Amino acid sequence: GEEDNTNEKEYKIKYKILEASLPFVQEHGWTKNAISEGARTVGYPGTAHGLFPRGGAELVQYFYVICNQQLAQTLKKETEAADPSKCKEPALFIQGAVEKRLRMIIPYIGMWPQALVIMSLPPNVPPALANLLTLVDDICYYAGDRSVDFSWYSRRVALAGIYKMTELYMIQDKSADFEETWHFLGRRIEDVSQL
Amino acid sequence: MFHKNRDHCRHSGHLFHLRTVQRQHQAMHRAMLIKAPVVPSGVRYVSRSSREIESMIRVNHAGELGADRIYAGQMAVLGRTSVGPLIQHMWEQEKEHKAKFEDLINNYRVRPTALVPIWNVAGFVLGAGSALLGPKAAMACTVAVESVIVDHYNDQIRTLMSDQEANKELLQVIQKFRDDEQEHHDAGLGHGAEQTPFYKIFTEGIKLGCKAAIAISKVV
Repeated sequence: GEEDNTNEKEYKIKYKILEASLPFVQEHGWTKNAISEGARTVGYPGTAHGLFPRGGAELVQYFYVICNQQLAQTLKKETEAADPSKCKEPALFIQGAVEKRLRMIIPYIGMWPQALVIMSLPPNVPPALANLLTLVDDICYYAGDRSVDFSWYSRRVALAGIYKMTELYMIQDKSADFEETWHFLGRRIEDVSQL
Repeated sequence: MFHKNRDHCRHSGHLFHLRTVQRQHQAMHRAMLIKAPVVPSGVRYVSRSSREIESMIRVNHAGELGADRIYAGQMAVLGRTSVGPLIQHMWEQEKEHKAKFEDLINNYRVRPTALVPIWNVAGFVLGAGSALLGPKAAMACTVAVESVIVDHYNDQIRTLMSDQEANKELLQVIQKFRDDEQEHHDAGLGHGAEQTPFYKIFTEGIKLGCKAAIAISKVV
């Protein structure tokens, strides 16, 4: 009812500010300063960062969530448009999906280590894990996994491990277009496929 | 006394055709699933259906999985006796229920219960164990389990009734299944469940176990 409307309005404003803050991350990092700058560009005072009690963590969380949603939309389109006779093999599909998702981080790669540190602070761990679970669930689902038993868990945990390892490899990879990272990813997926 | 559950929340008792509605809703749900969910900053979970719906589907799936195994256990012991065909018939219906919830898990993108291996074993042991005590004890076990499940489904129906339009598919499914389970319960009674020695204690114990399993699978 009315309370829902006010809540929704509040979220819309918050997302607007967070979205506008992303371009300032390169300069200010995942911090309240970036949020202040972003707030100013959309017409709110710099003190609007007070809307975000967990500061930079909320910016990281927002970025993670919209990347996940973008990926889900892309994967959904891919699976729907796919010619059934040319269906991609699951391992390849998963590799492609993980690469797509990691590429979304590239514009922020300089500040990504800071984001990782922020998300490993105790109060931020639950949402970070939830985001990771949503991500691997989406990838597994669109790769064709329809299991409803324990393998639902084992597959997703394995993929989460691969994703995390590749992410960590990526932040210290200096090769052109992160080629080494994609090779690393390919090898990890091969390892798991052999199980 | 055992029929009190029937009168609550009974919609016009028409049997709906699962398949056409299911296809339409599958298409609709796939479209809805990708709609960006509202993400409050502090929330732990970015889910596609609400937490309540997810928990309902998860626990229902766990329940049907358990029921399937219980009947399997009973069939393993009593399959060739005179109650065999009855148990077989009830088992077939539980298999349908389980398949339906597995569909819903995929459509609603629900996390299934992590305790699948445990419920598999526990269900089979309960079924076979009660069957070893005799056909009347097997019926008593059925009565106990089904009465807990009927109450459980009625609770869910009450919750879902708060928004009949949005929850239409789920409501119809659960109502139909609730009616099926009530039938199993009555069949169990009709086949002499109450003549089991220590009937009261036996059924109360099983009911307690079922309620505990339900509480756990809502979360895990």
